[in-house]
Amino acid sequence: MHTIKETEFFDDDLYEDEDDEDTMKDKYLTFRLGKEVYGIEICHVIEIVGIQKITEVPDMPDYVRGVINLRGQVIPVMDVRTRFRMAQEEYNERTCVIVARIGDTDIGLVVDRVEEVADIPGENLSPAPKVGKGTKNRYIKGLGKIGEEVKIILDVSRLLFDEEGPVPLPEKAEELSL
Amino acid sequence: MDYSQSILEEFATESLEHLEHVENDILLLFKGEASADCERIDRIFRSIHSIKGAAGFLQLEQIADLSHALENLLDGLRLEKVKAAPSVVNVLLEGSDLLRIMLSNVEHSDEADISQVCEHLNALLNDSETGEIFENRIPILHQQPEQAPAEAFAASASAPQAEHMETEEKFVIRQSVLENLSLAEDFLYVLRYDFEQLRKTAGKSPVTVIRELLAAGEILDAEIRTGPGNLPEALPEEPLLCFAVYASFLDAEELCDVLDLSESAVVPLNLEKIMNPSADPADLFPKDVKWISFERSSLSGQNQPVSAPSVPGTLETETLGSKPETPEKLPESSKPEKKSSAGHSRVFYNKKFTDPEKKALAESEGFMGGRQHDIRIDLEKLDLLVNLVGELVIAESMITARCNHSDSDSQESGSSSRNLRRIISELQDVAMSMRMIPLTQTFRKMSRLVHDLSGKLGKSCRLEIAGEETELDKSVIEQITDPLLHIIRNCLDHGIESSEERKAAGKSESGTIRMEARHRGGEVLIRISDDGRGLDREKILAKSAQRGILPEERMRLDRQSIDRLIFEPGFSTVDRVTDVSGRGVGLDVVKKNIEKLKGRVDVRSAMNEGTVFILRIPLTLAIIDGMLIRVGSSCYTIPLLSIRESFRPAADQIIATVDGQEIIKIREELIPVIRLHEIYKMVPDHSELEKGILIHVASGRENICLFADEIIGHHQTVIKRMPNYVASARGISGCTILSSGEVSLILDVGDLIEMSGE
Repeated sequence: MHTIKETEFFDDDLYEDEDDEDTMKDKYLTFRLGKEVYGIEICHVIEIVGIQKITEVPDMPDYVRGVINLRGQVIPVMDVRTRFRMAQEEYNERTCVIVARIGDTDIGLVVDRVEEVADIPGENLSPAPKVGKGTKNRYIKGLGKIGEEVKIILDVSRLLFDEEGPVPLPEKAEELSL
Repeated sequence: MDYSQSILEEFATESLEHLEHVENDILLLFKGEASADCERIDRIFRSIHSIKGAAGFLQLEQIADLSHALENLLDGLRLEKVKAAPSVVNVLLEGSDLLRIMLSNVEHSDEADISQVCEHLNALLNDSETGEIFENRIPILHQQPEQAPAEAFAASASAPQAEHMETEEKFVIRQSVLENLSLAEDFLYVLRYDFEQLRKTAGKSPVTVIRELLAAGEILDAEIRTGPGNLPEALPEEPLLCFAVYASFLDAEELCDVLDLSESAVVPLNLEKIMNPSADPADLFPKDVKWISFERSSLSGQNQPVSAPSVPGTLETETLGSKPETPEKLPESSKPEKKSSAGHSRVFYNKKFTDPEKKALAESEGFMGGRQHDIRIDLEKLDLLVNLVGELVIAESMITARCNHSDSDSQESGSSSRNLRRIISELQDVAMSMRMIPLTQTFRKMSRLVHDLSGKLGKSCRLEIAGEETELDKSVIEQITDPLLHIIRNCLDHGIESSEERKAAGKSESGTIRMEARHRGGEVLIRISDDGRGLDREKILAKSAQRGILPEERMRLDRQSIDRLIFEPGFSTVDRVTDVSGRGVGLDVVKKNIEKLKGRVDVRSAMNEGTVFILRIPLTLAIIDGMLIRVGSSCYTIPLLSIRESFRPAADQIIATVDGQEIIKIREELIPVIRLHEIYKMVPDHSELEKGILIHVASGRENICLFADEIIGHHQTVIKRMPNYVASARGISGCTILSSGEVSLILDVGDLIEMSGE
């Protein structure tokens, strides 16, 4: 019988781990809002679900649509279009909720549709333009090039906790302003 | 360092648990029969001893010293050298209190000042021993903490220093360990291990050794001799000796094989011979073994350890025996003994009770019996389980609803879905019951309070307790302790009269406070009654008027409403501010806290007969009864407890004030209306009040009517917290998931009333 030495186990495990981290690195989930394609780091993404009935929560800024039930977990939902002050559009069957986790906060991001998981190595990233028009610039982390296409990489924690957002609990905020 | 931190925390938690029992037992001392007291003292002794042992092991010297002093006094009580008196109880309590304080801040426990308490403890002891009062104190710091308590008396006087050095290196078997054993088939041994050597030669870690031992028998007592070093650091390269009294079904030879021990390290014991007080001490152990001694239980009057005769022995005994003569090898032994002893620890294992009567006793008192069946679970994990079961309930109702629509062979699926529902509801019950704990600890705290306070106030009073086994959700229990304390304090301070007053009123001199708990429906009722002077309604009215908290309709106040005024903020009838109560915060805080739990508090009183406080508390915070209402496209849940009534108003009930505030006239009351769709900015079905529905809700004394489109129904539901990101929403206390899978927000009536006032 083939016996496995303890060390082999360890090596395997270590290797797996490294591999796992590799799969997360430089990968971005891209989605579409109108004509533009945006990306967020894949490590923030937990899952993608279809749009479902959102329960409105009072006293929230307009882009916080309310809360949804994600298999028993109640999570807040943000409409990214409204956050970017883009024209409102009816939700349809392609509308998706990207469930993201930033620090301790789980949040659903409503987007027009999800595109793909794109590989953008660090050297193809350029910093966000200093000047620009529109409100969305403040949430941009950088621009990623894939061939001729340019994807706008978003800073998710700014998207959530920028001063316009609801005031998060202080200790949470500290954790998140990485 | 994290490692040692977690050990310390574990030690503190466990010791605090011990102290809970200790305190209760101390309070019960000298109240009943002497035989019961003996058992109690034994139990207290054991608990304190475990604390001392572990503290010594962790080098928490102050804790070890204090518990040692407590131990000494307890032993004195046991030997009847110290007279039972109320002062003993107080000093014991003082000691256990200080221990608790030190334990709750274990890391800095060594900075605590224990000298005063220790002096008290020793004074009591000396007092009874020598007849001198507070004269001949022995400061505890100069005593030897590790010295077995039975030795402490005789030894401190007579035993020469040298002998102590020797016993220090010996393993002392105590008679108490060997009592209550039934070893009809088992053999009894004393084992000697050198962990360091075992690790080197056999590659066994101490944990492996202990596992091996437990697999083949039972460890009755064990002691480990650690070096002076800091445990979290690497273990020293010197022998790490461990002794154990061990019962096993294996004979000595087998044992040596199984445990990788040399023959000399396994010493068989003859239980009968040892327990026979007239046996020749020299005969107890094999001649070549001199590292064991036996200490008779102090009751037999023989306090000196019985040593095996010194004969130069085997290799192992030589290593051991050489130590006292060559102290430089063990740097610690050259220092004061107190230091070196801190490295010793004696671990007590819970002995199995063999006497059925004793066992039943132990179990009924919840002390030792059955403890092995408990495991500690992180409360968060439990919450998670309860949550998941909640999900399961919702998922199940969604599936059954769907099946009922689409099914052709409905009979079969009907029965299987009923089955599923039954299992799930049982699962839910079990999950909820796991969070339930009895009120016992809470009630015990109250007996302590009554003991302390009645002393302080110079009143004589006892607390009767009933229904302490009633179970409540852990988080509820945590939150009712304060309100209960307040109420008991009030009973004692305001309710119970002084002995003279009571005598004059023809009552028994000593007052009684009775505290009982029981289940009723989905609630727990707690009733606290005293047989004191009762509420003085005239005084209450006068005081309320003076404080400006008297409602305008004072003429119409019935007796009940007058009594309830004592729950108003800022109400206090005692002119003199006492140490106990009367700071004007008290009963209003009680009421607020109980309402926070969705419970209620009420008071009944009869002049000169006493006062009764009644608390009604929901079993759990995790589930509420709610009414589901709809406004536009949203469904909200209102806790049923805060709803007075709901109705469709008639046009003539509606009054509008100049500033647009609508008011509804219900019978004689005028109640403001809040339109939910307005504050939550929704589009309602109806904007005329006559077409929708009004829900009359109350929080405290405030009333409002909420305007909604319709009432959907009543449901029992699992409460969820709002996610932090949206927690700033006002008027919302949480949310819940409906059987449709949709989220419904739970309205916070108190908050809404506040909002309407702005």
